[in-house]
Amino acid sequence: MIGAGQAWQVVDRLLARAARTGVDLQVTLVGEDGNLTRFAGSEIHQNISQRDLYVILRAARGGAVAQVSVHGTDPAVHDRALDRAVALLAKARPIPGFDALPTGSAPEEHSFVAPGAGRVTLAHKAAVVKNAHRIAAEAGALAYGVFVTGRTTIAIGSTRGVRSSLEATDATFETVCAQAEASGYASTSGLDPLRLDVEGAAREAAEKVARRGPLDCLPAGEYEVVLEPHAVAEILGQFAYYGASGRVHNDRMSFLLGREGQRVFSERVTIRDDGADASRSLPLPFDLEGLPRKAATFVDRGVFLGAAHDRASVLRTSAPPCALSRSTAGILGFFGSPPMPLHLSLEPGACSAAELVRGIERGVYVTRLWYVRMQDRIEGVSTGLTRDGTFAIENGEIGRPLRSARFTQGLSELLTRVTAVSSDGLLHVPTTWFEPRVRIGSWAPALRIAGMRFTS
Amino acid sequence: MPPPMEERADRILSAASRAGVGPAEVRVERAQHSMLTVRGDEVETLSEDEGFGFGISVFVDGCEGFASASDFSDATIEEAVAAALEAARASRTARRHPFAPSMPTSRARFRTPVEVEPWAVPVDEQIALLVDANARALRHSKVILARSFVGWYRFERLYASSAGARIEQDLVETGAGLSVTAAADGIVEVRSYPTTMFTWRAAGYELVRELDLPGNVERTCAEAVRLLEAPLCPSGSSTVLLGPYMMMLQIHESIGHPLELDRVLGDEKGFAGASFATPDLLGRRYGSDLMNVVVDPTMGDALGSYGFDDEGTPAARRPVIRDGILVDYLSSRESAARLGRSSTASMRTVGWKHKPIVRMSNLSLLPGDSSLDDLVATTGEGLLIEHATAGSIDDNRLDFQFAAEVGYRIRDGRLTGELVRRPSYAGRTPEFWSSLDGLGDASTWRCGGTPSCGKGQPLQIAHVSHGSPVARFRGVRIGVHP
Repeated sequence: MIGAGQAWQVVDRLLARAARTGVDLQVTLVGEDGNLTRFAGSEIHQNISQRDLYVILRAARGGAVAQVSVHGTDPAVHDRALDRAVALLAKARPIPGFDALPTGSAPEEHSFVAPGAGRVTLAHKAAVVKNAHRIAAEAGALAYGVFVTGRTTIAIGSTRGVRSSLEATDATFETVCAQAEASGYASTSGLDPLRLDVEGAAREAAEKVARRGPLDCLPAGEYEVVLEPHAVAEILGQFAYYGASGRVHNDRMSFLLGREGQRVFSERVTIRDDGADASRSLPLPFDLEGLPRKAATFVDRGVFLGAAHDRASVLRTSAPPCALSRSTAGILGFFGSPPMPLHLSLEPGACSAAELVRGIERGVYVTRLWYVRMQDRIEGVSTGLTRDGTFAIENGEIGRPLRSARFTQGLSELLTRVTAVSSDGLLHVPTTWFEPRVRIGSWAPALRIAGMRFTS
Repeated sequence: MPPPMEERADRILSAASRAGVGPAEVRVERAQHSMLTVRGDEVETLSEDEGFGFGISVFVDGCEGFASASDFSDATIEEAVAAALEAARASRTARRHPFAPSMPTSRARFRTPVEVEPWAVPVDEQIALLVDANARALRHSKVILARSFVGWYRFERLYASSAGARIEQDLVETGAGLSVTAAADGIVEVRSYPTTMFTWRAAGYELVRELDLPGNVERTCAEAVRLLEAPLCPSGSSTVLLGPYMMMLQIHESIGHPLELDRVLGDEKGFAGASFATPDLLGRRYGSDLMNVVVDPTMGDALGSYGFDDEGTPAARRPVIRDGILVDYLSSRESAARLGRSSTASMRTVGWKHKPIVRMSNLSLLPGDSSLDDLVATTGEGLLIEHATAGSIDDNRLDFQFAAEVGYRIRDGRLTGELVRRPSYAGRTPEFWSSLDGLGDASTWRCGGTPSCGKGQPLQIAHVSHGSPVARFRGVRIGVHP
């Protein structure tokens, strides 16, 4: 695994070479060393180790930029990539008024490495997973899921003086306990695999599946709901792109277009982005141009403050941006790289999770949402399904299990109907990511919502 | 010159042998990707990516361990072998059903037929093409945004097994497209050419020339502008004709994914989900007897084409649904063996870094015998929906809801020329496919590919394609609005 010291050797060698060509260059280097132990039917069926060094070169002249990326440690490969980037740059058209690479200020060096992470062997992980299988078996169920561990090094340097680096460990355990048609989900994430409450997550999922009984269908209609943090995190993901990406606003495809300064959600909803907050994220305190990402509030007590921009997208907007330096250049794979917040959190409230349920006479408890898609981007209408732990709430208590149910609703309407927010929350880190391995997550409390519209 | 792939594979297998590994298989790959997107006259993305690495699978007592790395130094190779071995041994802790595959032995080559190598086409020629197309679009007063792209992939792969197999493949894929956004009076609509999602093929730059983006701008823009005046999709129950570019998503989500045998057997239940199409459905009805569905990785220029899957199994055309009856799944050697069947050569990885999992390739609904005119004439009242934009389906692949760019009204058995905007429809897979009562003939059949099918942890974005004629379904719920 490449560390920050070795990473800077690679970066500096390329920057020195670029200086001789007369072009500006940004080098983004991502070193990754990760393992996934996947299990299904209470068996480990996939056990995967991946090691890579991903080198992204952005050559720039004035407002023109060209990007070439390669993998591995071979200096000859890196040099060929630089030559190719310079050749491509000659073909690129400059964006008027744009300076394609930013100027750096003070170096940013960050380390979020859990000291014990390196001691976690695959045998240890297999034993942890086997214990989760035992807990599922006690509930008469089988366990499905993944235990992800890894370490990532990011170094971003440029001929313009940008110099930012991060070393971080990460770990996520997530499990679905399933028995016949019933299932329950739970997960836990953090920097340190040795401090994850894996057993707690396994028991939480098992308790959900233990609520047996015939799965009833939820008749279409509006219901008062309690969404667990996992479900809220899914909604935050929709907000991050469709609500808060400056590019989506520029393309006039956001449901929050032109609504800066307006109340768009309940006053109980405040949404922030802070990539440096290790208690609420897997941190990444700078953006993918290496610029510091200052904490920003996108929604303040229901009022939309503006979209997230990078230095290119902000040129195309007349609306006041909420947050700059939200470049994701190169990390979001085939989707392209729109500027967007990566570490959203929804501010907690004052209720306990139990209080959210108490007082609901007839409602629905939702553990997790699945396949949430923006059916109508302009109106902000999302559709998706509940999954792995949907229950009826009856007379203030979580009751019989329900089948998965589909909702179709405007995101603004849904979040306008928030009536209570829990004081506790959860870091939710997706166990999928695009290339390269930059793990991010969001922090969410549970929400009580007065009317969620289920359509099938 | 760097050593050829086979020499690298031999070094890796030798290292595995020295480490005491028995059966092993290695995938060495050079993967290249280029993407150019132009917004108006501004180059938004001009990027190239090249990866060169390997993945090794080793088997210990029927338990598999996988490791990958992106350089070929002796030290890295030994570390990767050790990591794969450690993973296989650790898996024994919690593996009740080990599987020891027999390693393939064949030597073979497969190459995508390409007329014009896309990497040989000057980038400035490509930029000029896209700038021209966008400029034509922006001449329309109500078109506020035009974005177009050209992209290509090349995968040079070698599969090598400890039993002596050496299979080389050189796969080339190209895509191009245009989308225009029209706006007026607070309404914003988008239309795309050739379509929204399924714009890629296993082909070279000849595809870009064949598509003729500039020559199709007028029609695309005219429809985008007309959509601004169109009513929203009505709500209710209707007969719908789904165009082939809508059907591709329907086939993908409600036939392709449910028939992936790893999902059926529960391997993806923790993430991508399971399937309603459990093994007891084999030999039973999946839908209307008009349904004939084949998986065919050898299908010419379809995007998911290959000669061998990533376990070295030779690709072949196979029926999965015949006259509406489920006759097979998409499978790997391990998942097929669990049902006492043979692999359908559907075990694929998206690259050297990843372990293969069961994926679609080219999965197609075969055409029927009705012309489009006949289908429309016998429809009465209904809606033709085309160009999928979004889809959502539950984790058992039963409850779906899809949206599209445009709907065309059918009244009194004819297409009236009226549009509806933002059409959507919903259903449950078995009932929906049972309601299929008309299939277009070969003249209505199209095949399109998408490089964006996500599955697995870590996420693997596979390249797949689907062919379909126009198809008619009765009693479909349309216009699912909040």
